[in-house]
Amino acid sequence: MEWRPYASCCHRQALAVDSAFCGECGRLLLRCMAFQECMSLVTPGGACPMCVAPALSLEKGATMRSQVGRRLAIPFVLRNASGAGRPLRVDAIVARDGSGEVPVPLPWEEIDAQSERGFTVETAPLEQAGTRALDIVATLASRYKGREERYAFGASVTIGIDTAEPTQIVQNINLSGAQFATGGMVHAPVANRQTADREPVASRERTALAFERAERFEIPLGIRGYRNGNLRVPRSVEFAFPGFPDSERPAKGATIGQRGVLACGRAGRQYDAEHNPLPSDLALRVHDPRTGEVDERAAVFISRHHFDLLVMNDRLHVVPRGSNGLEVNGQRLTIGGVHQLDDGAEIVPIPGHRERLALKIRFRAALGIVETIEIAREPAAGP
Amino acid sequence: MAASTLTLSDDQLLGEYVALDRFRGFIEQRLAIGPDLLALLIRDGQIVTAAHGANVGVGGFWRGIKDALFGRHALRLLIADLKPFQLRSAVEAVTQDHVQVAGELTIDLQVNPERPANVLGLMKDRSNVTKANVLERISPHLGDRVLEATVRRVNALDLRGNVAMQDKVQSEVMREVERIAGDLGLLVRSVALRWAFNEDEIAAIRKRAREREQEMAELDFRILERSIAREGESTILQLRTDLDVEKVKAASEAELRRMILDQELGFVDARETGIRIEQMKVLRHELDLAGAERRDRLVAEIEAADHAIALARERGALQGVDLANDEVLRRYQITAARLRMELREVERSVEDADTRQALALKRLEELQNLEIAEKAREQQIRGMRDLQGLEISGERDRLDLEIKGGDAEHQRRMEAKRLETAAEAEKLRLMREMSPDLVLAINAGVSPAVANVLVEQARARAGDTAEKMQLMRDMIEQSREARIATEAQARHFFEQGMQGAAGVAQGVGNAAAVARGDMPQAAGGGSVECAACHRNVPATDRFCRYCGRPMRA
Repeated sequence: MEWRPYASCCHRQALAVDSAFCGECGRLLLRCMAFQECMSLVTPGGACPMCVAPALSLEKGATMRSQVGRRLAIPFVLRNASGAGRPLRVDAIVARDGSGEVPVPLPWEEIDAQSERGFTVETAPLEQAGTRALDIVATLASRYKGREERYAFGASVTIGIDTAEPTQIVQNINLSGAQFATGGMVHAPVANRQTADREPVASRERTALAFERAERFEIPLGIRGYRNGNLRVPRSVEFAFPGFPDSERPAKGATIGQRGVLACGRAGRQYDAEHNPLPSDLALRVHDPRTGEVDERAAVFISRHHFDLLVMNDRLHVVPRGSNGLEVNGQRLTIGGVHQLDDGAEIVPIPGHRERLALKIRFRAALGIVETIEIAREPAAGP
Repeated sequence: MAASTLTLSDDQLLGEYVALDRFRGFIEQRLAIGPDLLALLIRDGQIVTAAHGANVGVGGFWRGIKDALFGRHALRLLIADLKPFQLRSAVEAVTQDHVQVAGELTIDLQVNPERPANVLGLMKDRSNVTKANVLERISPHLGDRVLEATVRRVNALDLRGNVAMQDKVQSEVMREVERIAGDLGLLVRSVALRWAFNEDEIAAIRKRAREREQEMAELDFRILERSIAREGESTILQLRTDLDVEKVKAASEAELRRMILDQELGFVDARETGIRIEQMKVLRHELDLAGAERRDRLVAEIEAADHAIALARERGALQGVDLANDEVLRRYQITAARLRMELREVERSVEDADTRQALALKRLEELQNLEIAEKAREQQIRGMRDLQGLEISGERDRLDLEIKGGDAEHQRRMEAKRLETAAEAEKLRLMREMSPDLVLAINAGVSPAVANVLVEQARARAGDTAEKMQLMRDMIEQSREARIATEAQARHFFEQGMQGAAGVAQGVGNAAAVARGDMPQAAGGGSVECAACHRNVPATDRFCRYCGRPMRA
């Protein structure tokens, strides 16, 4: 499903809790997982602007100039500017310079909304004179009801490194703006010359840094997407269901936008207040291969709400919901927990009975973006 | 007209008021203030201007006449030092491994030349302010907030040369001084800490010194041992060499010839000796052969004698044969005993020499062991004394810290109780000003935002107070069941669900069905079925909100 930027009507229509599309303009609506708190829509791969709003600053007194052979300790302040009151979890902070990555030890792990925490980055002994860039890459996460979205954010600061030679100290007094013409006093301006200051100078004000999303680090660091194949699954990914009869599958081009998950189970797709108050998006039925009829005896091993499929951290996940559990790639999964699904994964809803019903996952990708996820039913019971 | 230069009256002063009246006179005086000083002119209680350096004209005839005619201005001139100055303060802190450390904090300060007028905040009512006054003002804020907090994260042995920690202290001190005196025009240029030797470092230095002493003793011992061995080896070599040298010295020409002759004779002797040895070997072989023959013969004789004895015994003539036999046997026994005795003597002399040598070695080894044990015992006693002293000191520090920690915990608990009581009182005070229905809603556990919406709804719908309160209770119950948490949800809920003709209860009960799209929306005035997903959507929608299909052309 092609995603288009939201219009003003979309935010209004998103308040109708069960809508997947804007009724006025037809745009796909992707809600933040904490929509009940932030009321915010998100882009297919982006962070919620209300929940994840970090700001990084250089603390007052930071020294950004040093000499060869010395270490430098740079104090930073990380602020959680979330307007929705959502806490921000900091999983890791890494300082990257030319010589490699240095993890920053953090005694804390969470920042409440509208509050800040400080940390200090200590460099290795500086080896060569000149200018060196120091990149700060932080892995930040927002959690809500068992789900977690993680993102990489990065900022860069520049360190000046002088040689260890002795330098001349020059005293400068700024005399500009001296206006002295009353009370019998005479203005006496004194000219002075500016000389480059080689001594380390501590900053007198807190300096805000451009702390931006660092998508390029997310796949290599395993934060989002699939490292194997360099793929991302956006929230707007389409699903196709080959092998399912029409009555058991959603219409072509279905997305998970409506409820954030794709509910799969024995329950039918048609809503009925008395008999089927919680319909499935994808109905899982076991068919008799000879007659084509639904096998009632085997069907009892599939719960009405058996499992959910959801997209989290640009990866497809399965959440077992049924008491009988299920099997993924031969591994038994029980209720609860969130498990990642890779390209080629196989879901067996009735553990140990692959011949009765199995779902094969296939990714159809272009330019590193998964456009369609095929969930193929085996044995096939439809087109 | 020559100008006199005004400076601060003392190098320790940071700022000082200058009494201009003492320069007033009939003749105008020119006063120059250097560019490194701040000149702040206050006329009639107001700052006229401030600048770096100035030239001031005071008094004079015409100004005197002007003052007499139009009144005299109250002039006051403040001069302050703009040059950076250094303050030093002794500091104490406790490290992460609970070692007390002391040091000297050096702060480079400067009056902010960009905000010169703010220096008035330092002056108060005094006629001057010294640099020491500034230190008194800021030093209490740097103890626990900066130094203790920073040093607490570092071990005692990691303090020295820790540039990163110095940077951190500098940053923290700058922030503190900015907080305390930033608006008074004080700037921190740099901060440095110099540490005295702490107990851990002293212990490490002592330990290293003792290790060095031990290493030196070991080295001396090895050198001594080696020198004794070398001396022994060289003495033997020297003795041999001396003997050879003496021999050569003593040898005259005749003796040398004789020696050569001796060597020739030795050669001849050796040759003859070899011949003789061969001859002797032949003779020995012959002797052995003869001996063997003789022995065999004797054995045969003995056997014959034994046979004869046996026969004689048998014949009854035993006595004579026994005597001859006993004599032969006794002779053999005497010879064998003599040979055994000689052999034993030789063995005993060898054993005796071995025993003496072993005893001497044993004695030497015992003496050496005793000496080493004595030294080790002394070392152990010294180590135990030091260790005991360290343990006592550590225990004392630990007890002090426990007492201090207990006091701090008690203070924290008291403070928490006090804050809790204050918060409860504040809540009661705020609720006193609220309306009864708002208090009812908040006490029912609904969030303040939702409570406000409920109050608005109830106010709009109900007439009298009793009806409003009853409606309010119903709405609170409904909002709890629907788990409404935010203001936007509450508004959406009541707009969509509660405005229908079915009333409040029916609206909530059918909310799920409405949300599923299987029930017409009351507000939209009708619904239509989507041809793709067969769900009911409001007739006003241009697209199906469930599958995105366009609803009309």
